[in-house]
Amino acid sequence: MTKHMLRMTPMTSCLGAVVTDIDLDRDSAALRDALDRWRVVVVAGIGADMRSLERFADAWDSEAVVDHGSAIFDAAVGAGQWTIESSWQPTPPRVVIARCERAPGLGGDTMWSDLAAAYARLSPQLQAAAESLVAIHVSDEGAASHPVVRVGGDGRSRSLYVDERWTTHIDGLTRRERDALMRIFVHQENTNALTVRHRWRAGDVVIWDSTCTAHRSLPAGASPWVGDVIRLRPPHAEVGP
Amino acid sequence: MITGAPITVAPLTPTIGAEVSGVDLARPLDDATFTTLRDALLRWKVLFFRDQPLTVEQHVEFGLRWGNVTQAHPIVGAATPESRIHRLDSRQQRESERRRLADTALVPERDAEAMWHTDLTFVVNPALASILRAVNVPDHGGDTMWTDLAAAYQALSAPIRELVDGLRAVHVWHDFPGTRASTGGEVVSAAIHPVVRVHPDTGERAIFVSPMHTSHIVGVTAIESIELLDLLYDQIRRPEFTVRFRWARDSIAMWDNRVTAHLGPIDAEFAELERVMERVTIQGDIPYGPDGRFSESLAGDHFH
Repeated sequence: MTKHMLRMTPMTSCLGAVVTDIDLDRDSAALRDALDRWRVVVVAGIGADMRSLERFADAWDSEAVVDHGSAIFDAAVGAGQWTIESSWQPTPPRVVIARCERAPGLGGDTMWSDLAAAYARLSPQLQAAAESLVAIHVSDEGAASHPVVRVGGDGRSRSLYVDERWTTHIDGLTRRERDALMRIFVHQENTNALTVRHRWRAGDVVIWDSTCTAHRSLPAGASPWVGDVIRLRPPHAEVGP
Repeated sequence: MITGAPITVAPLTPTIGAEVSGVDLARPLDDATFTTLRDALLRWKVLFFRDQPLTVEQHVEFGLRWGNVTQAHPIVGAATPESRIHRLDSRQQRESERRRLADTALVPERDAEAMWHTDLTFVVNPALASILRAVNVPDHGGDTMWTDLAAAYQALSAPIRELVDGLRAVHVWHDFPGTRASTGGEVVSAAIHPVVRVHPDTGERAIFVSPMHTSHIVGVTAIESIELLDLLYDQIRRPEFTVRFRWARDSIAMWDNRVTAHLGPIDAEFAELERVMERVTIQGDIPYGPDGRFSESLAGDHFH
């Protein structure tokens, strides 16, 4: 099957691209390439039905977990902090697909931060220190430990894998030491040049690579984000450096 | 006769930033149009205009509608004192940054987020407003962000608001711009401002410190100054108070410099941007705090 060329507009100099005029069935492979390159892909106003999204999700050879609701982008329940989606699970989703049914009120934008770029911007000394560390991610529903630096499927690319929302401890460090390193790591995630910001419209589908991005949402005005979320969980746990 | 589509003002966030359409800034503005723009600026703090291919003269004329248009800049660009256009060229800025770092190990590498600033706070009368026009910008990258310093102030807890209401801080321009203001370099211009500024038109209180030019809070210990400024810097760049603008050629942003800080291009150190902008600056008044005390000059002159 030949790949159809996507019409793709980069959103920033770091991550995020908008694609228009696509067909999820025909362009599945091209869209996955776009995701590898841009980490966050906004399919603007496609208004896709769930069946075509689920077919699209099948291509990842992952377990797809579908939720309907608004909590994922609700700043009031913690999504206002940098969040690696479900990182408190032993096998967090690799890819997340969110389909917006009702756009949030003015202000309810969502941001993504590029955790590979965040890692790359650390000094070599801090990169080396981070690579030896393991962090604990905790929610009300469970806990998991993950390496602080995550290695990509290619075995080479590295990204920071801690967030503000779930990461509570770093193994072997005192509270004070943990605080110092977390401030450095979160500062990278907060660096605006490494982020992209999306203002939702009904019908948007956003796909992101959750192995190397964190997301956070801003407080929505009049109404919350409403839509469907598909989390694609890998068949087995993944490893650090 | 100037007629046409009515002006529309479309907010981009709940507090800051609105895109204005239906106005041609190349032509003289009648009083009704100007009043609409002025009200919009006071309400939304940053106005964005698309597709405004102004000549330098038209850019200055638009500025004159708001007050006295100053020289290009108090310190840099002083080579052409007759010019009232401040030209910002990313390539030149990158070069001077490279030279700065090559010169000495005494200078720390700057942090992108430490470049948030309110324009010209190292003079006693910082700009009232700035009008920035995109002359040449890349397809993507080179965005600018603004933050609403009044919303940031309001969101502080009451005891902290009370604390910072009574403080004053020193703002400096060093002989090398670009590092956090508290690190080294010869001071060539400096002023002392209230940490909380009262907006002369709206009465709103706003945080009036930012990392690029503020050096320290006076009358407190060093650790108190460092911790309080860090707290305020984290506060002013919380994303819910900000707006992010993606430029195109002939886009214009105009901001109320009394109640905003900005960062741009946000990715200057990350991307090899080819980006040229031109700024016209409206002369500012002297800030005062909640106690009515005015700012004072420590080094350098009024800027006009």
